[in-house]
Amino acid sequence: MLRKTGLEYSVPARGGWTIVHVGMLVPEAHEIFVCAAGCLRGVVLSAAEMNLTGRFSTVAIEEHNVTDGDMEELLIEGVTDILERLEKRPPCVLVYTSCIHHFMGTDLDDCFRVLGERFPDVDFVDCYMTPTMRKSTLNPDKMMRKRLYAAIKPLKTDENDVLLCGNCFAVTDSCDIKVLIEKGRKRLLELPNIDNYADYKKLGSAGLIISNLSVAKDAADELAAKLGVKSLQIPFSFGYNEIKDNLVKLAGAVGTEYDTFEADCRKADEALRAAKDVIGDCRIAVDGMITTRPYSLARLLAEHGFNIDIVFSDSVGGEDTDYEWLKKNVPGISFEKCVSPDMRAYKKSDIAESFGNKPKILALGQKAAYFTQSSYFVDMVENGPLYGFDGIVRLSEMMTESFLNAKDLRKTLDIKGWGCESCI
Amino acid sequence: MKQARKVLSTYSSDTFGVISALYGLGGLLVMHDASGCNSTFTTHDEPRWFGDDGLVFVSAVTEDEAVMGTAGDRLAADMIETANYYHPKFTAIASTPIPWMTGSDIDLTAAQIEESTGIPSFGFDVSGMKSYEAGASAALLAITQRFCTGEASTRKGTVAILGATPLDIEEEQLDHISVLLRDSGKEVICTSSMNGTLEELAEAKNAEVALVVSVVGIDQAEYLYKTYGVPYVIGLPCGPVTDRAVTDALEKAIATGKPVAVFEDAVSDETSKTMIIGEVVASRSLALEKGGARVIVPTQDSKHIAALLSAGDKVIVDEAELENELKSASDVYADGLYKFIIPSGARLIKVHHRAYSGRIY
Repeated sequence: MLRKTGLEYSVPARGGWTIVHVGMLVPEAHEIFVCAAGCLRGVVLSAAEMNLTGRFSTVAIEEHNVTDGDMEELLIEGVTDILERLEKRPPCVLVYTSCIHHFMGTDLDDCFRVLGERFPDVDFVDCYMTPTMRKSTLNPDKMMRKRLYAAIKPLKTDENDVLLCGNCFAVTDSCDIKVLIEKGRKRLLELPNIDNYADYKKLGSAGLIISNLSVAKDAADELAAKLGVKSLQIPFSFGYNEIKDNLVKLAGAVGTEYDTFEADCRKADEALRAAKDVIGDCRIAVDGMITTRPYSLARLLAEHGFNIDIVFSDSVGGEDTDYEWLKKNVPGISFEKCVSPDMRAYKKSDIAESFGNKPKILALGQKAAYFTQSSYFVDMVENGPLYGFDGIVRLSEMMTESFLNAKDLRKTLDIKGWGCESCI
Repeated sequence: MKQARKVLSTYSSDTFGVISALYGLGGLLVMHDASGCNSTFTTHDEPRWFGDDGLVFVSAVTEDEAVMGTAGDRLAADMIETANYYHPKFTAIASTPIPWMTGSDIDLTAAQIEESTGIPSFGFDVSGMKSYEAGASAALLAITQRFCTGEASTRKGTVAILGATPLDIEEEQLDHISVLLRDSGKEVICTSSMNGTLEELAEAKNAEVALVVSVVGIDQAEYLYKTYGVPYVIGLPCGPVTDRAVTDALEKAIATGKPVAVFEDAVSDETSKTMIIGEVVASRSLALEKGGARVIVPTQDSKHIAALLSAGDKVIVDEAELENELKSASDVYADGLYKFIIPSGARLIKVHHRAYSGRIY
């Protein structure tokens, strides 16, 4: 075992969204990355694979820029050159700087001041591709969610507008969050549903900011403070009581009551039972790509009789209670850290040879599918459009469908960024 | 502005060039990087990653380590532990912008690993700011210098294929070359490094002649030529004309004992409306195949490029300058991602180049 080594392995499962994908949620915005060639390589092709090359540009840092100390000039003149050559001036430009700017002490404030003066009709947003910060409190993922809303300015507050902040995917119409907000006679706003910059700017009138992802909490708090409204966290979970507590909080914030707990529990139980009737005792592997709460999901399924076999995740990350419950109550369960170098040989040595043509294991998530080499997997990332009891019902249906119908493993996992088109 | 690209993509970097060149030879390969390089390389540049167990990792250097200068010691310890677990044939470290900028001593780390494990180890102090050509060239040269040693015993009728990495060469092209050489009575004893082994690489010194299929193999070929007298031919067979030219050139090189490029006598027509954008060896070979075209090389990080161009050819890395150059083109042979700057009246004939568009097309 290689548990002590700090080297990290990269699983060939590409569904997770990156800061390129997330930034593209700002409608009509143009992304400009100012980085070394090696750093640009991944992001430029991610944009190409999104078929959004027209909204993406680059400025390459070369060795002489580091030794000459002209990083500010390179950024300012590079961005200027690109904006002057674009056929249409974008209303918003996300300028991504990288680790090297920060280690060199590049004066970014001055860069953005100059750019703002040169292009007063453009909202410039400073964004960051700084993987050296990934283990810091404010990691690049959290920072990106914050920057998504940076160009929003306070407008006259509309108490009827509730913004779900920081999610990459809009929730379903039947989602508990949406149902409850509409019950309170308010309107749910979500960035993935907004397709023009004018409507994006109108988010400045939101009367309440909610968030359900931990990576979005800072973004929600910052935006709420800017707009002078309340921020409410309703953390994503598969635990019935935790969901209930969150829905009660949300109901109070939108002026209504959450009074369908028992009925919602029954619906979720029925959906899980129906899935269990089909899936039976098939082994199940869960990963941390399909959901932000893999241990909570594994516990929910174990509590409902499913045969939970493996959880693939890089950290317990605030799920200590569910993790400890699984260790205590699910004999034989294993926990695997995806980035560990010994995972490079995992699938062949531990799993693949024991599989036949039938779904001997149902994988929940792309990484679980790769490690188990199972073509029977649920393909979703970062909770998809799900939340709450309705989310459990939908996931149960997805599990059943995935158990019954094999997918093309490689074709699916090769697509960079879930939902993007593959040109392979 | 040369470094600003409105719409064009980026060529794979020197860091990835190192790893691509060495991948498949049984080594433990580590990019000294915070995060992202491994995913980028394996997603876009390395088609073998999904299906095999090549040992490529990142060091996962953190902000604190970079600031405090402790990343090197930790990297050495991690690689020693991992090498003792996997028992690779060699280890290699490729640097990236932050270790390069902070002056990490990659060579020292490699030496520590080798001293501790006894496994041959390499350090490549690349910056992540140059094109793949610089890294791949350095890696192929280093691995050849280390493992292709001792006395040579020339084997008649044998060929070593050099400079073959998936960044420049497709499997189908390699198959074509293999068939061509076999049909002309040659035996391929080494393919460096795509589909080759370290043991086969050690045999390169015994080849009667080498075929260099991309610019990244020229330093490697020069080493074999100067050390063992293996003459080489630069060229990529890509059709009847170049197939014949390559087989003729191989015989000529054997007869004269001198290096030769299959396109060295071909002069590009400066007025030609057919243009080829891409890696210099592939593009000049294609120009020969098509009976004359102007070649535009969009990278500048190999010292050999200029010498391989003819009068009508150019190195252009500036997007605006390239866009302007293409205005007079009627047909453009280039990777599909160049479609965004092809003039409306011109025809794009797609030539996939993994070092540019990765696995997208």
